[in-house]
Amino acid sequence: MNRRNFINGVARVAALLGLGGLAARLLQHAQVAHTVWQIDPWKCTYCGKCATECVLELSAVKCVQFYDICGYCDFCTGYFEPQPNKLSTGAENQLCPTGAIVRKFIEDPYYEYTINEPLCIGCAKCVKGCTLFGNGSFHLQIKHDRCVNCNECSIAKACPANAIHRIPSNKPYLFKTREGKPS
Amino acid sequence: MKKNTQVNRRGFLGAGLLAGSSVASWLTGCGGQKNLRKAGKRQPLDARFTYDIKAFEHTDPKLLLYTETAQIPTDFQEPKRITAGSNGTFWIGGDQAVKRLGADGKRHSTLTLAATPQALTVAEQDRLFVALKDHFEIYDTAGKLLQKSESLGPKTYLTGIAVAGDVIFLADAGNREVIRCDMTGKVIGRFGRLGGKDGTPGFLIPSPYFHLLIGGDGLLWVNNSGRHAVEAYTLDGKYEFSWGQPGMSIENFCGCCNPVYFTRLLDGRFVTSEKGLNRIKIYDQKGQFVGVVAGPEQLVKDREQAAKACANCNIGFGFDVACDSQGRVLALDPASRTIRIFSPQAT
Repeated sequence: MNRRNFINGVARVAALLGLGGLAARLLQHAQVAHTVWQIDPWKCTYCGKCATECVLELSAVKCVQFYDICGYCDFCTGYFEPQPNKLSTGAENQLCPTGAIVRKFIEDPYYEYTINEPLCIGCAKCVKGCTLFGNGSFHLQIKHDRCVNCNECSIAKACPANAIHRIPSNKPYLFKTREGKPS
Repeated sequence: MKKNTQVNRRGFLGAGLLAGSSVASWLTGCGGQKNLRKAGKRQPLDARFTYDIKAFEHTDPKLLLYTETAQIPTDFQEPKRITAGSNGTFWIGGDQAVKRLGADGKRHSTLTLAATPQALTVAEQDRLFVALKDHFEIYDTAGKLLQKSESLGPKTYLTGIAVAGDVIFLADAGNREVIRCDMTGKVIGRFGRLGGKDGTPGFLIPSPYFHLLIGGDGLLWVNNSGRHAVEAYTLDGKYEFSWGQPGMSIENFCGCCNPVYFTRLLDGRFVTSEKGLNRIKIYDQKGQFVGVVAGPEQLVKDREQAAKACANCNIGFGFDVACDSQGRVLALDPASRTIRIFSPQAT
């Protein structure tokens, strides 16, 4: 066997091994693509790690508002400091450190609260205020337009409540319901 | 001319490197992202990002008027309501049953229901009135069903029941109004809807905690939690007056919507229960703050453990309260699933 034949043979074996590996990896990717990471809002303890543990500079975790269970309160404990000076939109009264919640008057005495998503860092401060005193309509979710769906989610690894796990990608969000926690 | 299809060594290695790096980049998935966090130790968020109510979780010992003296297990998975009966007995509702307990905490009887009891009250001849989601049922002391009303509507979500003579008052958190019925369930009237023309402030009930009772003063008392108030009505539904202020300080009602439950002592003073920052407090007959039965540090030792143990904790949980003839306050703890008894401190 001359040198050319030897190199040829080695290259073919390497190519075959590479193709096999690639096929296996593709298969694995295809399986993973059927599931995505998501936060179970019933398990979340609003620890704040979602804001700091994501591999992205600005976390893929955001607060979402689930209007179906919102009380539209004048004194929203997810929007206002625990002891506000006044129930107004003044920055000193707002709970969110990044000003990511918008309060809008609907009709006396109801107000609507929406999340300005680009400003939200997923710190869960508002989620704690809303859940502790109110109905828990604010909760954290992994936004799939941002999440890179890592094989090993660094937030899931750090989550003290084990609240993050993979769910089917055709139902990629988990929202609370009026009926309460599913049994 | 014959085309040279042979790949030389340089071309072969170059193509291999290019393909290899492309495949590696694609397989890692994250390689193309420009907004990845830099490697290194992550800094935790500073205090601005923490929801902090620690300052309000401590109760001034001078304000504490009661001491916890006993705990009685309910044997319910989800204890919900408690009310005092006659001769020191009391009734507790949960799961799909109501239990009658003696003053010593021993169970006298159990009544099995078709659904979760939402509210309980005991009226003349020890008849037990049970509000279920959309109707009520009346039982005698032996547990015999005396009356069952029709459904009061598809949106009805009853959370309170009180009886004065032949009239039953039902707090409907679904429609945010009080319903007046006769003993058969025939609706006599409704009042308190927001925007209604009945002269009432309108009930603001953001979460399903809407309770009412008949006072010894002959008035119907209702908690309007979204207004942080306890309101008095005549028995025909005319608004009289109210008391209560919002705020985290001890004399006020905290959060978005409190108090969630209340009852009255034999001398007419009020016992209120709050969720979020769990506090059970005493107010006089005019609504002036008197003192504390138990503060957050007495009621909830470990909030996270309590939240895990309590099925309803996701909307903030409150302790239903009842009083017995000895002036003790009985608090139904949904997290530990016990009745916690608080006795007045010796002065």
